Amino acid sequence: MTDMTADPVLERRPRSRVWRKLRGHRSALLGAIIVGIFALLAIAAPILPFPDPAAADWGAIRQPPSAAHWLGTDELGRDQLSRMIWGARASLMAGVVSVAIAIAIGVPLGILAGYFGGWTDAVISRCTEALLAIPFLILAIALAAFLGPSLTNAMIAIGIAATPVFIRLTRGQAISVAAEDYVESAHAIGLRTPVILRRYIFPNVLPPVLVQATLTIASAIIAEASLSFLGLGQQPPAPSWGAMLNTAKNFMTQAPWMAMWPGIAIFLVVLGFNLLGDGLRDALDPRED
Amino acid sequence: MVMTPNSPAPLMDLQDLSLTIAPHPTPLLDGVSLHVNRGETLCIVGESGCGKSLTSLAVMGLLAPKLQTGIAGRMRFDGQDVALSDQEALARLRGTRIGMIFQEPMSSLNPAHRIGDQIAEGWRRHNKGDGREQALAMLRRVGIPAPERRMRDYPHQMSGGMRQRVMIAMALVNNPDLLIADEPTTALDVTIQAQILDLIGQLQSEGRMATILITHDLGVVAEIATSVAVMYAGRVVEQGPVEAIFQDPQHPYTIGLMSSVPPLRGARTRLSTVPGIVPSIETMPQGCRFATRCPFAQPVCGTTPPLAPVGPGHHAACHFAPLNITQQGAA
Repeated sequence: MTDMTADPVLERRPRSRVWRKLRGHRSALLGAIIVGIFALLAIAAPILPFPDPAAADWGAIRQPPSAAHWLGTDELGRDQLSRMIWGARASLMAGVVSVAIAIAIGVPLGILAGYFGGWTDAVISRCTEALLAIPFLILAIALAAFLGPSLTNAMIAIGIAATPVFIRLTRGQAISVAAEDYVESAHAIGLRTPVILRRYIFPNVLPPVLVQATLTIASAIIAEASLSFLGLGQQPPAPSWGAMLNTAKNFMTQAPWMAMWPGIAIFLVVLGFNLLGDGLRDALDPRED
Repeated sequence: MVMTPNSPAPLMDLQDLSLTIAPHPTPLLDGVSLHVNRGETLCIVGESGCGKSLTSLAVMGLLAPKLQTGIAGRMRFDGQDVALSDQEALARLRGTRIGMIFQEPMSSLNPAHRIGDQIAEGWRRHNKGDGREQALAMLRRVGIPAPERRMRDYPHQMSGGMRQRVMIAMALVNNPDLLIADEPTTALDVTIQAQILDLIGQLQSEGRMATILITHDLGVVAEIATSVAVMYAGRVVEQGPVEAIFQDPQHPYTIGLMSSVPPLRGARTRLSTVPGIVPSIETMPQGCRFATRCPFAQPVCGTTPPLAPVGPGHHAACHFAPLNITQQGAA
């Protein structure tokens, strides 16, 4: 094999262009770091040495940040830092799971609509448009109210509310990919339609879906916080940023830190996902190099 | 069917392929009959829009669904009779018995999969096993250096010529009896063109494969064709052995095509052209479709001339064939 490595054509192996562009993208890197820190804290929550987020301490209610409680305590004397970190679990999980639901439903439907066209497309697209006519958050709230208050139901509601965007996006991509020469050559070697959909259409519609997913996680986190704020998401005493904000609004003048931390956390996570999504979009864009 | 006496039964014999698109009564392809023998190369020539690609797509069963309803005609393929409107029968031949390569190697490979996988996929579709060995053997046959490593390349890591070799490997991995190549070298530069044509010729001589090559490059035709079919506006106007077509063209359109090739030697004169353009489907004349551009057109050309024998294995669809003029005379 030594004679092969001497071949100049084979020596020059281009590394992944997308990865290279993403690493050089400063704001994407910042976004990835923010998201990464929150994700690590959320995953590590059970093993970190923080007090039980649900343990009330009646001798230390609504205390400002101190050495004992770095971020202060809430109206039941629960440690805010611990609740923030456990709340991150709920928020990130809600973001990721609901977007996974939206992708799992939206991408296959979008591919069917875009590839087959005709009646299939008409039925799927009209339903999509009907759902798109309702604002995202309103739809999520209505669905969550219908399903009943729990974090699982909130994730399902947000997932369904986010689905139409993915159907739309995938459908458009599938139409353009289906017209590609390589799909025709797939037909020419006799491949069956399911194989073509799975191996030719699906992987080639993914890049914009990936960008949309990152940006939608940000919206889904806001939606989860909103639902929890309204009492439709995470149920007490389990911590969630939205629910913390809801309680904190009653003590804005006495204990402003109670509202500050969840607000900052939501802001940072959403910012992180948006920066990451923008960076991905730039990196996956084949036009600029 | 057009056949010389004593010739073996052709591998593929296309009979009376017609294609009509609903609102227009004039057929887009009108009674196209072609045949190709094992080990031979049939070149289909003609200017853009004459129906060369439509013919090959119809044989492959790859026409857009809305065109499929307008197909009529039959094909005898290796003794088997297939209606060209029978999409399922064509799908059974596609990929196993008939392979096809396309014009644009840059966009005809799936960017999401390694090329080894893509070649193996065609094998897996029609055979047992994962096809890795076959893919590797094909890459070696089409002359890709270091095939073990190239197997793991993505299409964007290869040049146009390399990709066309991969396309050929994909089309031939199941050892088809017939290869249809739709302008396989148009998108490549001249040296690579020669390499690819050599490769096709070499692969063909290794087996008993027949090739249909669609091209508008008469130089390519002269080099590799066994027989030639000249198409004009959806009809075959002349068909015959390559020598007969080049040395003794009988249809005025073929004569026009031949004389519009710039000569390499001799006095420089103004290059002759075929005046006018191919009529559109709405303005297609009755009878001979070339009549509007033909220097010899007479009232009789208002009726459709049959594809009649003018020499051994040589047929032309002209009321005046065989002509008593030479190529220079027409130019």
